[in-house]
This record gives sequence, structure tokens and C-alpha cells, in this order.
Amino acid sequence: MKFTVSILFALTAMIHGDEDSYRNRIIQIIENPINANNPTLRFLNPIAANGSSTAPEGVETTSVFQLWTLHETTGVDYLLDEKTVSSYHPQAEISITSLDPYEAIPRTRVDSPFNVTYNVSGIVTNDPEAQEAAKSVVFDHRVTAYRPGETSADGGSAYTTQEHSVITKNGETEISGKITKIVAPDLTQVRGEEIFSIFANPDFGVVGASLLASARVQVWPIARGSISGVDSSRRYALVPEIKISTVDLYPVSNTYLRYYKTDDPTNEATSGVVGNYSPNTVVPQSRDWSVRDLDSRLIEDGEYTVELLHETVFNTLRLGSVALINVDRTIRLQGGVISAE
Amino acid sequence: MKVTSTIALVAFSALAVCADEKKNATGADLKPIVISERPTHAALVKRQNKEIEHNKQKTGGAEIKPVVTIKKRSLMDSSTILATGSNWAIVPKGSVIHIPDHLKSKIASKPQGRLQDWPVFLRANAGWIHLHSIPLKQAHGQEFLGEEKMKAYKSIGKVVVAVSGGHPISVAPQAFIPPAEEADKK
Repeated sequence: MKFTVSILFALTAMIHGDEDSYRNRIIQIIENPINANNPTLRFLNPIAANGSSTAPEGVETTSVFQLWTLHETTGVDYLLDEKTVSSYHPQAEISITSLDPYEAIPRTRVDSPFNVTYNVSGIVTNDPEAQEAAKSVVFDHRVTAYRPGETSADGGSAYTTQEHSVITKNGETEISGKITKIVAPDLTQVRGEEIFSIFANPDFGVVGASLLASARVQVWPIARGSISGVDSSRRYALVPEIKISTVDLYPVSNTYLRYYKTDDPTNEATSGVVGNYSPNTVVPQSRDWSVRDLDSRLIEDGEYTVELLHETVFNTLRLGSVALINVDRTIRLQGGVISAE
Repeated sequence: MKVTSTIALVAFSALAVCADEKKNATGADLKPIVISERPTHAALVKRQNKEIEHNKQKTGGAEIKPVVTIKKRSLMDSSTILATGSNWAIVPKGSVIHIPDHLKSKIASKPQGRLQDWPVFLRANAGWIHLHSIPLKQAHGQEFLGEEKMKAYKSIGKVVVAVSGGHPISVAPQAFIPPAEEADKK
């Protein structure tokens, strides 16, 4: 049997936040009928950051299509997606969702759960004579932590297997509210990925790669930050520049200073936000910046509370401690008048 | 008479800056901001353990045993690098079926310069690259490439890359062995 497959990948060249430095490649691994251990490799023509490509000559028996991204100068490669296409063995699909709607590579923050849905078809369930390999597929879940500051697994990364079980039924399964299984001395600062895969059993018409479907979720740390530049024991006639320092801001987020009068926090006339930084990227961002114009915002004398807030799709967190600023623009004159006759 | 009068203290206050106090200073969206509690390591571990415990109950705590072997893969490990010094391209390992001595330097062990897409690299380096089109059967090694064809492509003094459907393709070693020899080997 022969058919043509049109493959469509949601490409993620921006995976490392440096779009121009990576190029995508589609590789076709073709089952070799005379040597199961030596499949034939065909490198298909490159495609743009979004697109589809039709497999030349269709697909006979089994082919695995892999989508890779490759660094332009270093050659560091990263497997983004993989699909096995065949006329005669099970098919599987896996998808991962989280509160973050970003789709290219699903992602979440370490404290926010994600959902895994997989759909399996083609498992032989009603033929006792069928070969054993045809009666199940294998579900695999493994995790790895990235090195501090890194945004991808390096070549030597060890993956820990969390689950490796046999699926014997066709249909859709949803596992919701999964908490990351990555471990670290401080989970709030962990970064890494979890890979969910479904494999065909060996000897089931699949050679070389037996992967039917795979999906990856990236897990990012909780941002940290602090504000400095003011002394709560001083009284300021002119509010100084506020320095903001942040680490691991979520890829799409909004971080800003909020100020309000400490004894009147809901008064709209004396509260507000200033100094926004809103990254829209694919990996966490660390950044320092300053806010110079707070002086023009704190218009009444009194004690103000200033806090650094980090807003994401998950929630809003306060980063670091609040700062207290005492504004006192009262001009005091001390003097003596002496008259003498 | 000397009269000394001292005004001990004169103090007055003045607001140096006083903008319209009723108007919000930023014009920013002042909808209430709900600040969540920052999770701690201990709280995250507790949640993790809860799920691990739940899974243990589900599986009866059985040890994870591998059913299929999962190999780590690398595109670069499956590729041959063709390079000019300023640019490079990848083709499948096994697709470069002939390299004349004077062009051996075009095969690189690591990237040099900037990666180019294959069609671009090919256009720029057509002077030393020759494409040899083969059917899938030959790529698999099911069929011999042919004495005459091999002789022909070896005589043109270029790096020869096997293609199928216009795309670089690996060629199994059996494809280079004439049928008689192969029969002898068996």
C-alpha cells in the first residue's frame, strides 16, 4: 500500500529566543526492507518557520518524519517533533496544554500544572491470532532539568524515566493537573523539560525509530527580583532613581513597580504603576532597569509603599520585599532675627 | 537701650509641588491587583510527593521496567558536513558516494562559517558538487547502482551526492556491490 503524506509542523525556530540563528530541517527516515537496522535517510528541502511539505513519492511501508532545528554556526541540533507514518501499524497523537496558550512548544511555570492528552488508534484488540506486538503500544514519560541559566538540554543530559507503561486500549486519555516531576534543591528555580512519548513495540513493522508520537513541555522557574536605591529611614524631597533587578521573568509577562500611600492604598489619586517591562519571548528573561520618574508620581507628602510585581498568565507575584519611601517636600526654615539699638 | 528680640523659630510649610490631586498621576489601569502568595520549595515538593504517592497507589508501586529501548538521537551524528570555509550544509551520512582526492577538504568534521539551506549551498557550489539521482531500491541496497554509472560519476572529478526525488539520500553499502560479488559473499 502506498500513500502520500502531507506533513505539517508547527515550527519553533524561536525556541532559543534567537530566531535568526536556527534553521529547520525535515528528515525522512525510511524503513529499509532488507536491513531493519539500517534505515535510509532522506533530507527534505528546508521549509520556512511555518509550512508544510509533501513527502516525495509518497510513503511506502513506514517512514518517520523528524523536524529538527539546527544552529547556524555551532551545529547544535534540537529535535522538535517527530511523526511516524505507516499504512499498517498503530497511530498515536499526544498534546500538552497548560494555562499558557503558547503552542509551539507547550510550556508552564514550575508551580502551575499541565494536561497531557493522548489518542491511540490501530491497536489490535479483537484478534487473538494477531502478533503480540500488535496488541499494545508503550507510553513513556521522562524528565530532565536544564543547567542553571540554560534554556535547553545539553548533549549529555540524563533523562529520568517517570513512567513507562503498556497501553492496550484505543481511544483518548486525558491526564489533567500534572505537576512537574523535575527535581532540584530549590524547585522554585528549576528549569527543564518533560517528554511524553508513545512507541510501537519492536517487530511491528517499525524499524529504526519506533516512535509514534512525542510531545514536550518546558518548565520554567518562578521569577525573582528586587528593588533598591531608596532608604526607608530617609525623607525625600526628591524621590531618587529606583533600581530594579530581575531574574527569570516568565517569557511572556509584565513586570512593573506599583506604588501607593501606605495608609491609603486604595486612593486612586496617589497610587499607580510605573516602569513596565513586558517581554514577549520564548525563554525566561533576566533584566535590570531603572525607574527615574517616580518623583513626579508621588505627588503628596507621606509614606509610600513601592513593590515590584510580576504579572503572568498564571497570577501576579510580588518579587522581593516592598520598599518604603517617605516623601516630604516641606521646606523648613530655621533662622534668627536680631535687632540692636 | 539695647533691645534684642529673637524670633526663635520661624517655620513655615509650603508644598513645593502640588499637581491636580484628583487626577491619577499615571493614568494607568488601576483595577485591583490580586497578588498571589509566592510558592515555596517545600510547598512544591509537597504537591509533587502527593502526585507520586497517588501514582504509586495506581500502579501498586511496581518498579519501572523498560519495554522498548529509547536511543538518544542527533541530526549532526547522522549527517555529513560539506563546507567551503565560509558556509556549510548537511547531507545524510552515506549520501556522499564519491570524493575525489583534490576535494577531500570539502568534507568537514565540524561546522565552518554559516549553515546554508541545501539548494542555496548547491547553487553556490555547483562547480564541485554533482548530483546522482537514484531510486529508493538502490538507496536501500536492494539494487546495484550499476558498473557504468559508477564509473561515469567517478570520472567527472566532483563530489558526488546521491539524491532521490531531488533530496540527498543515504545509500546502503550493498548498493555498491555487483550482484555476482554479493552472491559470492553469501
